[in-house]
Parts: sequence; C-alpha cells; structure tokens
Amino acid sequence: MPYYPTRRVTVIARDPSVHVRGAVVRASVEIPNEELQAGPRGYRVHVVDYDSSTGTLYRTVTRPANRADGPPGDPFEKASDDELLESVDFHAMNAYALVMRTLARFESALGRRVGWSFPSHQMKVAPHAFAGANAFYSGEDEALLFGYFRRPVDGKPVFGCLAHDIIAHETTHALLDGLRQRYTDPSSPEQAGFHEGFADIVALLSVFALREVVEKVLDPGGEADRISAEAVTADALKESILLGLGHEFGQELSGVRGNALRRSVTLRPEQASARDAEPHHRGEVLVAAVMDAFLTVWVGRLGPCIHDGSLDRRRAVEEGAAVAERLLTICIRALDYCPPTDLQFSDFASAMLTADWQMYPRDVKYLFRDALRYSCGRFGIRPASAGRDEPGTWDPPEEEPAYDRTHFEEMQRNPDELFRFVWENRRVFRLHDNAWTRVLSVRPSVRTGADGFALRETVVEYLQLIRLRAAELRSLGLKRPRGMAGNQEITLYGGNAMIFDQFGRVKYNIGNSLFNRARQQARLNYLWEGGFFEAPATSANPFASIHQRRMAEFR
Amino acid sequence: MTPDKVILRAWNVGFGDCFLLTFRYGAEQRRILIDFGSSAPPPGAPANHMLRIARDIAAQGRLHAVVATHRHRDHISGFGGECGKVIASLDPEVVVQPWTEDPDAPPGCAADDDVQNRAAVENLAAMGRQGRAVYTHAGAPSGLEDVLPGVEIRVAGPPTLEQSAAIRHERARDATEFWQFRRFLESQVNGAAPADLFPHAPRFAPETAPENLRWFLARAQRIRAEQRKDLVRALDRVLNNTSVILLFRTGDFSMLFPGDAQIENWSWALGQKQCRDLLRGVNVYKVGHHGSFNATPRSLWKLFAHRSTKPDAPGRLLSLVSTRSGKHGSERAHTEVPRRTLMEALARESNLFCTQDLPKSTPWRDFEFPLNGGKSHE
Repeated sequence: MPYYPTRRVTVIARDPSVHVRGAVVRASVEIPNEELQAGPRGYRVHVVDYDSSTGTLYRTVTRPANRADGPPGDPFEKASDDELLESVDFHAMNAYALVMRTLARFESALGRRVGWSFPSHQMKVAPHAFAGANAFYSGEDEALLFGYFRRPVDGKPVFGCLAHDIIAHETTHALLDGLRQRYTDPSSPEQAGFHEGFADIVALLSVFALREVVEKVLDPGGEADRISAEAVTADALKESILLGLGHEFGQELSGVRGNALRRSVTLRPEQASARDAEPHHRGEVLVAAVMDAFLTVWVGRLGPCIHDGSLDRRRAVEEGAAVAERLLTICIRALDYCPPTDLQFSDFASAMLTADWQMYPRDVKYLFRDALRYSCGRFGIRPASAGRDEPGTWDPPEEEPAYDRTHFEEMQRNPDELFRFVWENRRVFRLHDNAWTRVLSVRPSVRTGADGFALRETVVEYLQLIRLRAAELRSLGLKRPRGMAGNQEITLYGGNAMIFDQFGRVKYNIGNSLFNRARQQARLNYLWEGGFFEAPATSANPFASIHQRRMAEFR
Repeated sequence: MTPDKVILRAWNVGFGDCFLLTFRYGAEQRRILIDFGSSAPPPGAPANHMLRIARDIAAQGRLHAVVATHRHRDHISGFGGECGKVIASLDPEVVVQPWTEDPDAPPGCAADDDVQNRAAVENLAAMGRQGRAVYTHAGAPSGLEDVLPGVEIRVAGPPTLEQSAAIRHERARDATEFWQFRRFLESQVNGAAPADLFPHAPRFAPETAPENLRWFLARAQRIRAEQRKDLVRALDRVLNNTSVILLFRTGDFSMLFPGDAQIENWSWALGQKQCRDLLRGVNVYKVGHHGSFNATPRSLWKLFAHRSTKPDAPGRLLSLVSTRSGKHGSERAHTEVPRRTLMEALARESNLFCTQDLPKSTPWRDFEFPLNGGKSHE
C-alpha cells in the first residue's frame, strides 16, 4: 500500500487573541505526512523545547501520531482552548506544523526541494527558547527560536510559537537566506528592507490563505449567510482586516511581529516616499503594494457575485483565500527571477510579473499582472524592465551565447559545467575579467500550473566579487565618495540569475553587472553616507538584532 | 539684563558628565548644573571623588537650576546618595528633564520597581517638587528663561512621539505603546527568571539530555547571553535618545549641550531650517555621548561654521569631551569610546579639550567667555 502523503493538524489560525463566538480561531492545515519521532522530529524539522531562561528541557510529543496507510490522527482536534494553550505538546505541534506548512508552500511554488541555508537538513525549532519578546532565525545555530513573555497588563503569558504569522515570518527568513544568500550583504535600503518585507508578505498571505481567518474578517460574529456589497470594497475590507486582526487584539505581540499588518493597510501611497531611506520603512512599502494588489484582485473577483446589494458569504471567503494562495505562489516563484545581489523593489516587481506570465500567459480569471502593475505603481515601485512581450516582465538576453562547448544534461546539476558555460561566454554576459567568479547554485525545477501543464526550468545563480581600494574605483568609472580615504578597502558585487528553458537555452539572464555604474555608485554612496565603513562589526545574528531594534525603536 | 561673561567648569568625573555654567550679570551670578554622574571614576581617584565635586559645586555659591539630560547613571548618579543631599541643599529653583521623565503625562509611567538609579531619579523629582520641575521637548521652552535673562535658550531635542512621527510621515505611535516598550525593556534587563510556565509538563532531568540535543542546548545558552547584551544595548539607545539638547545663545556666542543624543534624537532639529541656522553658529560643543561614534552625526558636525583646520583661527570652535578611555567598546570593532576617528576629526578642526587629560591634583578646568563680542580665553 502506498504511503499516505499528507496529514491534517490543528493549528491556531492567527494567534490566540483572535476569537469568534468566544473561541480561539483555529484551522486544520494539511502538511506532508511522515513517521515522526518524539519532539516531534521529522525529516526537515526537529522541535527541541529547551527554555534557556530557566534551563528547562521539556519532553514534548513523546508518542506522536503516526500512520502510513491513511491520515494519522489529530490529537488536538477536539481539545478545548485552555487545553491547547496550556499544553507544551500542542505548542510543539503548532510550531512544527506551521514551519512544515511554510516549507511545503515554498517547495510547491518553486517546484523543487528547498534546502535550509545551512548544510544540515533538520531545522531545530525551539518553541519556548527564552523569556523575551523576540523571535528569530539563526543560521549558524540552525534554529528558529521563539520567545515568550508575560503581558504587562495582567501577567498572562504570551507565546511567539502560537502566532502563525510570526512562525511563517521566521521560517521565510530561513528559506530566503537559503535561496538568496547574498541578500544579507550591506547594499541598499531596499535590499536591507527586502528580507523583512518579503517575510511579512509570506506571513500575511499565509494567514489570509486560511478560510477561517478570512471568515473572521468578513463576518466577525460568525452568523451571516450573506454579506452586504458595501462590506467588500477595498476600503471596507481594509477596515475589517484592522478590526478583525490588527487593531485591538494581539497588541502585546506587536513587539515581536512589528506592525506589518496594520501598516500595510494604513500606509497611503503618498506616504511611500522613495526618499525615505530607512530599510524598515522601505520594506513596509513593498508589503503595502503587494497587499494592495491582493485587495484589488479580491474585490475584482467579488464584483460579479453581487446580487441585489449582497453576496454569499462563503463565496467571498473562498475567493479571498484563493487569491491569497495564488498571490503567495507568485511572490515565492518571483524569487527565482530576482538578481542574486543588490536587489531593488523594481527588480522584484519585474520578477513577480515574469513569474506569473511564465505560468499563465493568458490571465483572464484573476488579472494579477494588471493588479500588480497598478498597486506597485501606486506605491512608487516601477518594474525594472519595460517588457518587450508583456509590460514589466524581464526580456530575454539580446545576444545569443555559445552552447556548443557544454552539455546541458550535465549543466542541470553540475556547477563546474555551468561555470564553464559562463566562463566561455564571459564576453556575452559582460563579466569582469579580474573578479572572483563563482556559480552559487544550480536548481532544476518543475512547476505545475493550475491548468496542469508543467514548466521545466533550471535556475542558476552566479556571483562576481571584486575587492579594491577606493583610489582604484576610477577603473570602473566610479567616483570615490567625498571624504573617503584612498586606501579604503571596498568590495563590489555583481551577479546574475540565469533561467534555462527545457531545451537548455538561456531564457533570462537577470542581474546586476559589476559594470552597472549607476547601481554600484548608488550602493557605494549609500554605504558611505550611512557610516557603514565606520560602523562596528554587527552583532553575530542580523535577524535577532533587526527584531530587537524593531521592538526598541524610539520613533 | 544681559550677562557679560560666562564661565564653564568641566570636571573629570571619569566616564560621565558634569558641567557648571556660571553666567555673570555684573556683580550678580546665575548658575546651572548640567548633569552630574559617573559610571567609572577616573583611574586612581579617591573613593569620595564625586562627593568632593559636589562640595566644590556647593562652594561656588548658589545653584539656580539643574539639568538632568537623561536617566543614565553616567549623567545622574551624583544626584543620588550623599552627593545628592549636597545638591538638594543648594535649593535649585528649576529642575529640567526630558518629557519622558514626566510622571504625570504618559499613562503608567510612574516609577516602578525596575527603575534604574532610583535614588537619583527620586531626588531629582523631589528637588523638582521643591522648586519647579520642567519636562521639556524639542521646540518647547526650557524653563530656564527666568533664571537666565538675556540668554536665548533653545531646546533642540528630544522630539515627542508626534514630532518623530512627523519626520517620518507616519502616524504617531501611541504613547502607551512607547511606555510599555520602555518599561518592558527595563523589566527584561533587570527582571528575575520567569516562574515555571508549565509546572505539570514532563521534562528531562539535568544532564540526561539526549545526545542529539546537546549541541543545540549549548548554542541556545550562548544565544541567551547574547540576547541579554542586545537588550542592554537597546535600552541604552532608547534612553540616550531621550537626552535634552540645549543650545544657549547670547549675542553672537552660543554653546551646545546635547547629553548623549544619537541620530534619532537629532533628526527633528536637523530637519528645521531655523534650528540648523542656530547650530551653524555654535562656538562651544559638548561632544555627545563621551565621544562615541554614533552621537555626533556627520550632518551635524558639517554644520558647525566655526570649524577650522587652522589652530590659530580666531573664534575657532571649542569641543569638550567628558570621557574615560578603555571603559566601553573595543578599537578592533570600531566601537571604542571615545572613537579614535571622531577624536582625530575634532582635533583637526577644533580646539579639543578632554576631561581625562586633566591632572589628578586639579580635576577641573574653567573656560571663561566674555559675552560682548570679545575674544575668548581660559
């Protein structure tokens, strides 16, 4: 009998502060089935419930539900709210299930296995890692750590490991760091803001892809069969989202999760000033643009369902969850079409449009690309590419590279073979002769569209890196920032994401050349003005301190 | 009434600040003490070093006002204990502190169990009740106007939550939230270990952790230690950014005292044209945060018009650094205080005075500035 592929697990839909009819809103999510060990410990996630503040190592889920010939049981399906909140076993399962769900989401969107950023395979997840309002991913510790703290108001404990969006956010940091290792390099406010912004986008869309959450937003009392047409305009939906999820509840977690949800629906386009160079604020602009596209598509889908001033509640909920799900796929897939270094939001906009266009050249149902162009434009994000065949998408390379010296079969998995291809074509690809050049990854992917056709692509990243002294910048046509010493050591990055089609031809070659003067100069100036060359070595874990700052920021 | 002279006395308190301004109006004198604290005494100083300074302050005569720029030990420790009694006995008329210390305005900010430097904080509040307590913010009156007639006093920081929000074009953050964060940070740094959250949950006895978990447990303990360090740093930064920034101006002479303000605090002042114009004319700059790399924004330093690379330039800017090397940071990580590159820039373009260069026998120096357009001399 074949192994039963999935299991259903009860999780808290957003966090324990979100209620309907007096009960915490839960969801039953589907994740890969596997034979779990105690912890639970599976093939990609290992829950270690160690609290370093008290030195306690809990024994969690000592006998996990396992079954091969059908879906394993869900021990928490019938548990009361109090039982869930007080059970370390449930906390462990909740964290395990939501990390696995996020991972599975990335894998299905990208059409391949997705590794962590570190060499081992099992992510350690500590659901009660420390007393403190923080949660973060630490690559060098191969771990996701969730804190807990007591509410200042009444002393009740608040748990990071019970907040769906926080778990999805931290897992996304871990996955993004594995997919694009150079995005934590100092570069520009937008690259610095991207990690946070993207993690927020995945977290919000993952939460909205749950029908239970959308139901809560549309019908907080949980009673109506039909809802008024006035309740499903973009403005009304924003209001309901705030009321249902962001405004009065869960405030105590805002130190851990930031204000992504609130900001994404309250940030007005005219406030999204491109001059605001604060990375966090830039990240919020990206979140706001994507959430605006989400609402635009959702509202567009509901229009035809309205009859006599009202519409079916279940239909509205289904549409909301489906739109979130599809947009999430577009955003994750877009990563493959992003340059590996010095990412700007304009690149991400083109990447999203290209990702969707590749899968759905004729988008007649959702019109995602129109919505993305509209919403990104409203927030000042213009696609980096004009798009020869479809507005805003990347263009194929202008010059044909030579294929006759390499073997495509080998190129699909072997970085050395790929490096030969890149090297032999270095003039076509405009590489710097003296830079250190390396193929970072080779990833064959098979993506399945909703209409069932498969799209085979091989995604390759290569990096160029050159170290020079400030006085030598002239050789690249760059100006030394005013006041910078001539012997200041500088590292410049360039590199591309190369997409091969199923015949082994380069479909896209997306990136930033070391010779791109405008971008290199902008990055240099930004780092110099921002005191990067003066600043101390940063704390060992950039994610821990980003979140710490978010909590402590005095503004 | 306009002053004809001001005398600035700077003490070597080690790592901390203590400045006394004496404005002379003919035969009459008005005195303001700006900060009195230390977190590490000068090397080889006697145990009662701070008390001696308190007595020295008292010996100068009447003290009219006290400014406590922010609630850090190195700025207010001298307002507690025996030293605090000496200062309180001088009956200052006005006590100036940042708006964040106001016990009435923000909800739930009354001193709680976690307050740091409690004795000093309470003594400052008591002195304020005795005289007049002023909790100021950027653009507001300093409360020193009556004490110092003929001196224009500008408060350039700290911005309120609304002012900060305006700079960033965003909605003002709720005041309660700010207080919760600050108190929360304080409780995290000072708080005891939390009680057992799951008293009935099964657990491993110490030393019986399975082999496959041991590596991670060691890492988790190290992360915990780093977290605490980060929290202390975060709290520090929040408090530094509540520093009162004062600019005193009379005629064409002006002095700037920014406490430990960092860039977030400066942002309001640097965004106001009028403020920038005033900052341009500064003659005496009390260097922020003991010369650390993050308290003298490049944009501020560039504004000062009296900078000059010529040591004998008339009216050259005077920079005062009150610090003690080797107490904080490391040169390797570029975090040493005072920061070498900043000190080099200060020495290159201004007359640099550093309290730690004072001899042990006389741990203070007076700077006298005639206030009728005359030449400054010590």
